[in-house]
Amino acid sequence: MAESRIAATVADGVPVVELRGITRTYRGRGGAPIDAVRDVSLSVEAGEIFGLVGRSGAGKSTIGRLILGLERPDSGEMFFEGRSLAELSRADLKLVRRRMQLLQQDPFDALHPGMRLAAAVAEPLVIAGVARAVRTQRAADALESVGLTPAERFLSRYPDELSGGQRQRVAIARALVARPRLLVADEPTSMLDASLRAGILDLISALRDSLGTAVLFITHDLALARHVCDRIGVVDGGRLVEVGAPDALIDSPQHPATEQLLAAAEPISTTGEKHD
Amino acid sequence: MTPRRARRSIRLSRPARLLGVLGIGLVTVVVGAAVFAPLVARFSPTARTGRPFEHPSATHLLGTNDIGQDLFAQLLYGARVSLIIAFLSAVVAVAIGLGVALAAGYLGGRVEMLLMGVVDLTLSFPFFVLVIVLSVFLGRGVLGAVLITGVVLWARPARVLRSQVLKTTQFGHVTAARAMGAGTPRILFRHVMPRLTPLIVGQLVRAANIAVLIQASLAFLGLGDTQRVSWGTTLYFANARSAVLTDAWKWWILPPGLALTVTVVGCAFVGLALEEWADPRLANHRPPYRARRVSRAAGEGRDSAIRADRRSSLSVRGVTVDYLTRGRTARAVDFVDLDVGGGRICGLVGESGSGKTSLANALVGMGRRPAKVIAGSAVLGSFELPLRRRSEMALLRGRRIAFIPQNAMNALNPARRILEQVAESAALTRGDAGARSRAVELLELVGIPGERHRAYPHEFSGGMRQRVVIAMSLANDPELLVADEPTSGLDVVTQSHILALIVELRERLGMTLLLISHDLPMLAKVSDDLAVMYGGRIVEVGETASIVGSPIHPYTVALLAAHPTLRGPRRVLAALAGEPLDPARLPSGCRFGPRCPHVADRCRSDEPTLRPIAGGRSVACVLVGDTEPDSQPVSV
Repeated sequence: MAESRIAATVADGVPVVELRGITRTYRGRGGAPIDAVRDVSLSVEAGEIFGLVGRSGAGKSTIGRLILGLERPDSGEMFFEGRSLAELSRADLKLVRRRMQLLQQDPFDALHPGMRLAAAVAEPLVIAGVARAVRTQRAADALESVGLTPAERFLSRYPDELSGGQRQRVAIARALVARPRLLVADEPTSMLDASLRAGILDLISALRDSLGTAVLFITHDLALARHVCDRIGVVDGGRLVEVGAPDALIDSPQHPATEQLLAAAEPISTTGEKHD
Repeated sequence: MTPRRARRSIRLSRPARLLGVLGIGLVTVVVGAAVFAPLVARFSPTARTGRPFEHPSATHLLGTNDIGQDLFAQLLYGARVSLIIAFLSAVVAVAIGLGVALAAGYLGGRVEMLLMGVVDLTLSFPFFVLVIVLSVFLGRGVLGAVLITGVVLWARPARVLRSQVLKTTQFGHVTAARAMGAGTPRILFRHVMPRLTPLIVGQLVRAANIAVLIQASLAFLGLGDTQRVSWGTTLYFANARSAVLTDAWKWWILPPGLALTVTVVGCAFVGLALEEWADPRLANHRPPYRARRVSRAAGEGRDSAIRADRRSSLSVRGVTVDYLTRGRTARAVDFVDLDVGGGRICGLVGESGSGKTSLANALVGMGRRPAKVIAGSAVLGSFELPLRRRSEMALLRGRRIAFIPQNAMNALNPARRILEQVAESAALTRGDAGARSRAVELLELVGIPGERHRAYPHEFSGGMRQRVVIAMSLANDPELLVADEPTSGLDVVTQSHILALIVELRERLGMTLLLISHDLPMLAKVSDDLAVMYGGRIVEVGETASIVGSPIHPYTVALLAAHPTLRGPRRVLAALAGEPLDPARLPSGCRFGPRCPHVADRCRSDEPTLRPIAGGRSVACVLVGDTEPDSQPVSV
């Protein structure tokens, strides 16, 4: 199923997002440069869920932030739907940004505590200049589509009247309301109870299925990535060290970083190495 | 789990509330006097309505001044000028401060360096000299006074607000707004400013407070507008006419002085209350808990020859924890029994609100108000834990019982070397010299090599800090170690290292462990036994291998099905219907009933109790095998 979808979009030819040789360097203590992201090239097709897996500090979140324009790369090229971001005017860049959305890890922090859900969910529409009359309806539809029904019961509520799982649903409603082409989901389930995780993953898959959204799914959990992703890229030390279909990657890992992630999921052995 | 905070309620500590009410009262009196001056005063403040230096009388309540003006009228009308100048100056000061704070905090870089440089310069400038110099240039009118005061006072609000702007821009919703392409004005006005409001109000009150004093001082020095009646000018004339030398000071100087005091004190009280409202953490001004050395005897109470390998079992009976909030009682832990064999690792698993953390807190005496252990007992080895006496539990904690709270690794003191921090834990039961060598030993034990012992916490990764926390918990040879989410916030690889360490330590030290988490696969990797908690009760308990191999309670089944696996078929993850249980609203009958796929009528009427079935396992489900021990109505 995944293969056919990819084949279909390859026929369209143009990936939603493509990075070529992206590098991002921070200045560390004493001015020594630290490469957070080193020479990363990847592309995500429409309707594809691409998993970025790695240990903390590997650089996977930075890749997400670079794509979203929250940070600028020091070198390399980025393309969104075939257009080089470096060549776009400020105004065009803004238009492109509106077609990407971010889903964050912490549902408690992701929503403005003083905004009613109607306003929070409709915010991408406001930014896109959608008329007020249409906004409320679309916000309501978005809430319904993430299972917060009936939407009227939720529209005028504030985030702190909701549980963590409900808030993450609201965050997804906000992410999908403007029908984005790309969703960057940064550890979207790691702060939720396991019993709620499946529901959130289903919503992300449904978003991909109904809108053909490309999803960059960032996680440190290989088992989780295997579950939702069409392709997985392993990040280690700022580099993309291995890319492949989930089962192939898990059955025959090619890179030590992948092996390490796999070993972590195995039963505990007390003789293991000790480098945190 | 703590019940969710009530929305938007202003809940202040009692002293803050008192101060707030008192402050508002005082300010209201002063503002009232200013507003209703024409109604209350019988004379114009500038008309000569009596003889000079009249003593107080029914006509002139505070007497008259040297040219026969009514002093009471001057007091009331004087409030107008004083307050208007104070209010406008405060608005100007905070507006400038806010602009600078937003520009510096949001734009950052050179702009921030430049602006904050100016702020520092302004703050370091001798304040009154600046006021006097400016007043010479800006004239003596109301506008002049407002500008002078505003220009002098903007720097502090700028600095305070900037740090809040910096904090606010780190919030997820600001990042999300940026990611969705929101423009700077939208981010600043819609996302950042609303979160500054309490601070802005507080800074306004504070600035007004100082502005009242500045205005009065300027007028008193003769630098104000002497044509306008204000408290400052009244004092200026009183001083000029030597009121201090006669007894005229009692009604000429004292009343405006008192009025100034009342205004300043009132504003300060309101400001304090507002500050707490803006930052509720200030309400907990209880001094931090300090380890009590007096109790060294408590450590010696047990035979020191038995250092390790005591393998004390833990036996918990009927522990019940209630949360008492605003007259309502929510039961977080409901009559829980739990047995952990000596030297075994028991995993306590459950989702948010299941009561697992409340149970752990009860067992280590960390239950804080509004949580209260209302019943139950626990025996460790042959020693009965005084669960309901917190002060006695505090003496055991860090000795017989060790506790690693959630996120402990982020709570190390950033300013002290790790060796010192571990030594501090060890010093509870030994002298300082012994504590130090013990700390070295402990750090080696958890795999931190000697050359890193003198490092600071920020030089360590999360996994290393967690090792330090574990070392601290082991400092005094605990018999029982309770760890709440010991691996949360660590990546999978580090998680497995920490778990390996825990297993290894159990083998070397023979202590009994209770590990608490919502992560069932993680617990399954290390624990000998599992206890599954839901709605304040244990619903299934038994050996890990048997529970994971063939879960019986529908909740355990659902919990296992919710976790993705690395190998085997990619099955659909089963989402558990409904929301986690709210301890304040418990359903009748089985608490899992509303979310259970097998729910039957019996489940709504009968309360399931934990009953033993085959294989040393116990399950609390009315549908499970009354007749055959291996009947499993549940299969997913």
